[in-house]
Amino acid sequence: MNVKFFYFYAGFSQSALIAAYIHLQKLPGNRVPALQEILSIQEFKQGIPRDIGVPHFIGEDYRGDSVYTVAFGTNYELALQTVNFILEKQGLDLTKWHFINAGELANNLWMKIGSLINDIFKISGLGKYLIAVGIRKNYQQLCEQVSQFKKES
Amino acid sequence: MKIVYHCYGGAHASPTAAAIHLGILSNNRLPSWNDFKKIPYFDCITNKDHGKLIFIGKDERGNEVYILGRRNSVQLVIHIIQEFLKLSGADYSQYYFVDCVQLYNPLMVTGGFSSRAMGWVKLGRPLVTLGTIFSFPILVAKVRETIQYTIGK
Repeated sequence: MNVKFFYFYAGFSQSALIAAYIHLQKLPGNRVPALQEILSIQEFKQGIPRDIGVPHFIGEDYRGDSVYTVAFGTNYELALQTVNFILEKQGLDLTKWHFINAGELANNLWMKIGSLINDIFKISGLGKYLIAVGIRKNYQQLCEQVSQFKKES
Repeated sequence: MKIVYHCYGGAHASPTAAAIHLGILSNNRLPSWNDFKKIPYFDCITNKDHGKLIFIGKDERGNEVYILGRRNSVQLVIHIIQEFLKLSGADYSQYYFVDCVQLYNPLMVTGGFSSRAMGWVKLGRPLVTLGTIFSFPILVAKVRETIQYTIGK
């Protein structure tokens, strides 16, 4: 069975999406992408469905492993407890299912303001632009952490 | 089918509903104080059990009856159970979730909180037991609706 990777988030779906894109090598790992590269990502433009607890398939990496994003909200301890229970109950190999908190990878003031403008004031263009600026600021760190995560798994 | 009675902590309303469903408690009279000792897991579930389906028994039609504590994260926990069952290849459509929360019953809320969250069992258990007796007719109605639904399936 192939490995499944889940980038989960509480607030910023975009940080999970970008982490998934880095994982899938759809975004560069050796340089910070231009704003336009981030803004042109289809899911970034349209937004990922935010049904809490529902994994959203992003793609398969070169090894055939599946990469998802999933909203766990702030109660992610309970979410992980539930997931582990279900996987164990099904007799699945837990080492093939990996979960990483994308909210801890990228979370800065630009992203917070952008998210606020996007979600609360519904000014999508400006909000997403600011989130993309915030992602660029944390991008190297994000790449290092995704790379570390892939090595460990 | 697999019938899952769920509530905030999975310690009072859902074990009582499961006991009514399985005939452990009579549904045509209010339970006595001693009847609560017969309810599996009544006032026993703790935080580490939240998000886990706890099997109570099989009803006369062969349906499996479970209880579940899901805190305030109803959508999160139910979606995770359904989606991760789906991802692991299991038949998630067999699960039927029944919300047993009795928020308008202050004795259940304060008693349950005292006993489970604070660990004041001597104070909390009598309060929550009395609260459950008050809520018993509502739980009986909920179980009847559930049984009707499963007969129709």
